[in-house]
Amino acid sequence: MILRSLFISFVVLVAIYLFLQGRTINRSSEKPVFLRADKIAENHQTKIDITVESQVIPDSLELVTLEKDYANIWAHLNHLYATNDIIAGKEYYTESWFKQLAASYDGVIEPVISRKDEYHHFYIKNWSNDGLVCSAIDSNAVLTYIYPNEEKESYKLHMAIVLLYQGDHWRIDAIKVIDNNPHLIE
Amino acid sequence: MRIIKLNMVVVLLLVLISACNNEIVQEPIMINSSDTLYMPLKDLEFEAKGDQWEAILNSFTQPIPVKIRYGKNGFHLYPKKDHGIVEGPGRLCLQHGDNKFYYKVYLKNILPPKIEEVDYRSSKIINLDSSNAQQRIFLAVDEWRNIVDAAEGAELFEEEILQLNKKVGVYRAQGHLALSSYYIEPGSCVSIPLKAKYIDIKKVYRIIAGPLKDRYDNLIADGTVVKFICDNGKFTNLMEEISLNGFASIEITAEEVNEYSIFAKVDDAKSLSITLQP
Amino acid sequence: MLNEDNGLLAETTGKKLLLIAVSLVLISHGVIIYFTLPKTYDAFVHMFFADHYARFWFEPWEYRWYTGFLTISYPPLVHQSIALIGKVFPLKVAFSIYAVFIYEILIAGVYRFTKMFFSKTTAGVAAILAAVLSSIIETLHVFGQVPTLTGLAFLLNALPFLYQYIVKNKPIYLVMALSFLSVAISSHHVTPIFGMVFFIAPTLFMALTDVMPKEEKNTNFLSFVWNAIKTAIKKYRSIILFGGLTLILLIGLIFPYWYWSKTDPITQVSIPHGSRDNFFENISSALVFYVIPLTLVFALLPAITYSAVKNKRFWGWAVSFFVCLLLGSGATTPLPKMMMGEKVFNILTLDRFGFWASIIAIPFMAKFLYSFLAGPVKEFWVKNFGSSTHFILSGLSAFSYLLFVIFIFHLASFRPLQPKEVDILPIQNFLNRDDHMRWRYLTLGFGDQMAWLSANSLAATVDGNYHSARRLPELTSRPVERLENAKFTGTEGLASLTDFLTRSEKYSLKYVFSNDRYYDPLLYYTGWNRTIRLENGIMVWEKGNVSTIKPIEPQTLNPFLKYAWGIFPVSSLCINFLLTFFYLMKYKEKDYFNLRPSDDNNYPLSITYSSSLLPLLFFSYFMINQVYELLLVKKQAHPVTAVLNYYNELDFQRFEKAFQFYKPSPVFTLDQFLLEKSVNDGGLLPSYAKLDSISANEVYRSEDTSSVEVYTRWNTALGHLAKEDTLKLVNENDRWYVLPTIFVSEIPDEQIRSYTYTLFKKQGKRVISSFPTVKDDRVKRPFAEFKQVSLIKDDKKYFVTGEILNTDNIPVNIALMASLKFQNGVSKNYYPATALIYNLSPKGSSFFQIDLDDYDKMDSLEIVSLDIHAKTDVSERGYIHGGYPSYSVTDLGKGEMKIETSYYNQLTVDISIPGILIAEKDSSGTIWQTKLYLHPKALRSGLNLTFETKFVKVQERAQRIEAVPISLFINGKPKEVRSIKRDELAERNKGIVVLPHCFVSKEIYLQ
Repeated sequence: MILRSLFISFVVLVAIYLFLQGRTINRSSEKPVFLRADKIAENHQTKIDITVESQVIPDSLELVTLEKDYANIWAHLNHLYATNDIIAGKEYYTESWFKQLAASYDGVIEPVISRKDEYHHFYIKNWSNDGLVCSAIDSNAVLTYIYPNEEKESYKLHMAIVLLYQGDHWRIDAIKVIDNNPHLIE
Repeated sequence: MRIIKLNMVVVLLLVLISACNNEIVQEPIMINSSDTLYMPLKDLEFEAKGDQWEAILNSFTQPIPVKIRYGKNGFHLYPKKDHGIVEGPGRLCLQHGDNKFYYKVYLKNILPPKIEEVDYRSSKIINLDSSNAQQRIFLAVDEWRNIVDAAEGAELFEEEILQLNKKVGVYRAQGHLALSSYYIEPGSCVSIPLKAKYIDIKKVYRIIAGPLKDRYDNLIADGTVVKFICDNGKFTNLMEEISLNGFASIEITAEEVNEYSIFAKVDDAKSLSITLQP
Repeated sequence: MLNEDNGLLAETTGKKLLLIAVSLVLISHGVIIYFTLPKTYDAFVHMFFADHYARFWFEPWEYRWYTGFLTISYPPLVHQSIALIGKVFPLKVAFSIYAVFIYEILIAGVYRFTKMFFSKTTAGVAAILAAVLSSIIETLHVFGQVPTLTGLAFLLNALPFLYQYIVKNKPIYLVMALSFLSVAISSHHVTPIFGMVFFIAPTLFMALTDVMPKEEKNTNFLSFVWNAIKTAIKKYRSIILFGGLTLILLIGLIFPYWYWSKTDPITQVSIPHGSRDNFFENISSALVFYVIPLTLVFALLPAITYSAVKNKRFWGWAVSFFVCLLLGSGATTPLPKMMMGEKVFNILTLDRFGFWASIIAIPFMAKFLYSFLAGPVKEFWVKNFGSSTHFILSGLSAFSYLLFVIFIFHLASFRPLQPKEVDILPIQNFLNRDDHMRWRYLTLGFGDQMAWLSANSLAATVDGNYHSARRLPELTSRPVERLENAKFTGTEGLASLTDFLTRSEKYSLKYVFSNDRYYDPLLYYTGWNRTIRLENGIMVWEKGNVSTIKPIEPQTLNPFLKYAWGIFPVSSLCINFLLTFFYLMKYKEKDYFNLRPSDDNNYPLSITYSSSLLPLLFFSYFMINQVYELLLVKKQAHPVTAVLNYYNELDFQRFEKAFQFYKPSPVFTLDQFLLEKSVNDGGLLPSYAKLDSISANEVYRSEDTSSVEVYTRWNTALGHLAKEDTLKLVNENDRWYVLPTIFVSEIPDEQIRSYTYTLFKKQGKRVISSFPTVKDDRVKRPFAEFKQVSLIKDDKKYFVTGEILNTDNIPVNIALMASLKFQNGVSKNYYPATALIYNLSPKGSSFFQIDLDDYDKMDSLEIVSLDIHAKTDVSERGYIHGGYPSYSVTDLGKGEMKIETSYYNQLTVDISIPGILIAEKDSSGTIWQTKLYLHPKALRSGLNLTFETKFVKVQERAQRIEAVPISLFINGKPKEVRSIKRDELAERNKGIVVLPHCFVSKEIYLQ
């Protein structure tokens, strides 16, 4: 009996010690960039025509990359438009662009109005020798706004855009909507 | 008794059905209605009923947080943060329960923002072997990342090809910005003067190659490999040295010298041979 | 006296002993495990898996090892349990808590298991024995194999229920048996699979024997076996039900595992394991896999055999025990290989069989120990030799066993299995900053601690520590467990490592953390640069021009499988706990082994003597032998012994001990010895080599002098080196001493030397931001140019040769890749190994050679075209290549050339490895081959060194293939080759030109 009591008190002592030493430990499960699938970009579809009007002509491989990245940029701009989720598209923003977005960030919201980009005609105006700067006019871009009641409105508008190649992507750095009254097409 | 019970059930059902019905809310009216809103918002007033409104203001890029203050006849919208935005077409959505009302607006910044002029130079490093031309892309962007006209009447994007001078150095594209520096670097070495000096104290010959220059009379880059090659008929001696300030040198112990013929090379450029006597 | 069998006394004594055993485990193993686990083989691997589940419970794809593998390749319960404890405690503590918890369950299992055989008191003794049993201690504290222990602990607990089920036919026992088996399956599937044969079958046999009518038992052998079969047939429903349900659980609980092994079969070269050695030939394997776990079993073998064979109910156990003992003996006899077949023999690690033999032996050992300590055997000793003799015998036996157990705990210190502990924090910080995680890394010389680093970082390595999951061809095609310890896996290991270091681009391998300078020459000559030495002394090597890891798609797996893996195994444990609680509350019978015959603790005289004395004999001999080896062995009894021991000390860098082999002399002091050594140090042989084999021959002997020729073969990261020395020895006071060789040092004239270095500093990111480098901070890829490129076929070998020039004004790091396109549309990439100077100063050039596949392989595929890609990157390291070579060439005939090189070191640092990159040119200046030659001795500052190299020219027999079009690309842009120019130097030197290519180990300039 004494042995049993001694044993039980010993076990209880060890258990109490362990209980007091225990702390909740969270091990980060954030996967590295190369494993993070960009679902937003993957699920996005648009049509982009590219016309090169710059003095320096980019090669075909560079144009393929540009087209893919520009589509991804719009995938994230649309996601941002609906949700104010500035983090999801961070890979496609320059630091200045990201800081500007962060200034108007107040947490992610439930989407109310969403937007789709249907078409872009991308006129490359300037292309830097080193392939790191691209300024362009996105002419006759068609953007469709979708309201919660499924009502849609499509607009045609012209934009000037500055893209910079940073890290492994083209990133948006600055923009200007050229027409004050976008043209409603539907 | 049965009828009373039935009546009660009917009344209850009616109450329930009426509760399910949406309350019909009138669209708020924008006082001083305008197609263009200036950011940060200054007291945007709406005439409306009720106090359960929510407002979502979308700029061209993202939802802008706004807050609501209720007044006698409606409410006022204020910005939560005093920031500018990316200018362009926007949407204001006012929401009351399931009722949503949309206002198409054009958003502009009210305050004159800080303008940053950007001067992108390509290539940043100009190697005089290839060309002294440099591309310059010039544009101006405000602090909210709106592209602005760099100058009155100018295009949004300006581009030119500059012919830089052929003097090696570090130059700035924008005087105040170290980050904008570009670099003119020397081309290949074209002339290799070679001379030898006997240094009595050390009993060595010092062979000096230099000043090593490119075709524009610039000293070649520091760290360039200069090969001193000498042959005494039996052994070929290969001495690689690194240039500094346009000079590279080696030392050969005098007692080793047995009528050496020596020359220096930088890539394919070659000096004349000199002969050291014992 | 504790010889009551089934009475109340035995009941309480048994339980008391169990409590003592449980407490003993808690206070001894509970404390020690935390300190032994870093030195175990496997603990860190299991912690890594636990970390995986802690982070990604329902995602079996683990990207951090081998470019990704599925964790469903190993039953998860142990790892998941540690992961759960790890939610509250740090991983090491969680592992320790889990290990102790399992040990306690094992103790209970042994107690219950033994109760099937003998009385409760014997079971109590067995529990205590299990707490100190060498095989279990070794499995936990040396091997760190907690899954094996978990599997066994639950299997042992399942067996008594199975026994009860067969005997009594009550369903609750079946449920309990299956519940315990489920946990065993979920923890370590191998244990229940083999357990079916070695544990479950004997249990069934024993149960059947016990239910047999008494008259059927007492028959001859054949009738007995026949009666047993008849009883089995009578019980067939129970047996089939149990077997069927076990099979369902075995498949169902870890179904994803079976799915994986079916869909992704292991096709890799088997890795040598010590347990498959011939233990007479490999003493160290014998010690670890046979002597340590089984010495007590062998000491008590007479008693075990007697008990197991005497009683028919134990016959199943006897067979099982002896088969396990035999299989555990590896290749000592050809029998295990014959029984299992070559293939199975080479896959399994056989130590587990020895371990199981020791577990099966526990009840029989406990029975004898009980009899020896408190039963008839004790009475025999007391009666015939007096109680003090018995006391001394018991005391000495126990003491020698205690020393043996302490020895096991310290095994890792006596025979270091792992490098010293590495503080991983600086490496974690390095990986976390500056996007370093976008590339893979590799550790060298970390031992199993590489798994610990992986467990604490989200960065990925190309290596791994779980060889079953390897799928990369560079790994599976060779018997290499991991790259990290390539040094110990001979030529194959280094070939594998070299593959990864040269094909780093393929695996986005950019960083190497090196904890062993042995690898420095290989890293340097395959184009790696040292960047920084971390606070923990680990050198970080980096390779330029390596792309970041491309987005990876994890291997897809049906979501059902993912959830099954995350839920079923853990549920088995939870259900087991609940059922056990339920069983204890409701069903537990007080004395349930009522069919078990009572113990007979008497032994024949021969067994009494042998099993009483052998433990003392064995353990005393073992310990005395250890002490003798450590302290008393005469290392200088013979000239050859003295020389061999002297080299052994030198190899392990125990210089003070090595010095003791020199003849004591006032002139040649330790200080002088170390000074002379330091002057010769630094070269490939003295500093970067590991002794591979040695043989010594006495060539002359007089009464007190001797001359010994020593042939040594050294492993270096760049291949083998052989050396021949002659040592003179003298005999003094019966000891042979080495006479120091006369040391003539070469002295430079100058007392102080000066040299001007031009160093570069890459500013890196000037805009301090976590975003990638901005345009204005990006440095363009430097210019480079091919001076010439040729495709050469020499006999059966194809290779590309050429010369590349840094045309830029900054030092560059160059990456070359030859891409062959074949007729069938397939293309294959090849990379240079050591025949290229990877870092070049401005206007510096290097010859190169890229070896392609052999003729046999290429012959079947017709080459269509050859693309050579060069990528350049700014480098601030590695462009100082050392001294001034001066050379002359002598033609020895038949294309053989003798190159006599005299090297002068003009630098202010020693050149650790003087080397020359040799190119063979023809009269037009075309390069036919390029080779690197390294001299094994270092070259001190301001001194000269002369060496000769044999070089065989190939241009007479080789063929330059001009039919294959060669396209050249620099940084992705197509480039033209310069026209080949005649080379005066080559013409003067019979077609041979050299470039200096040396390694300087001093980090001041971070060559």
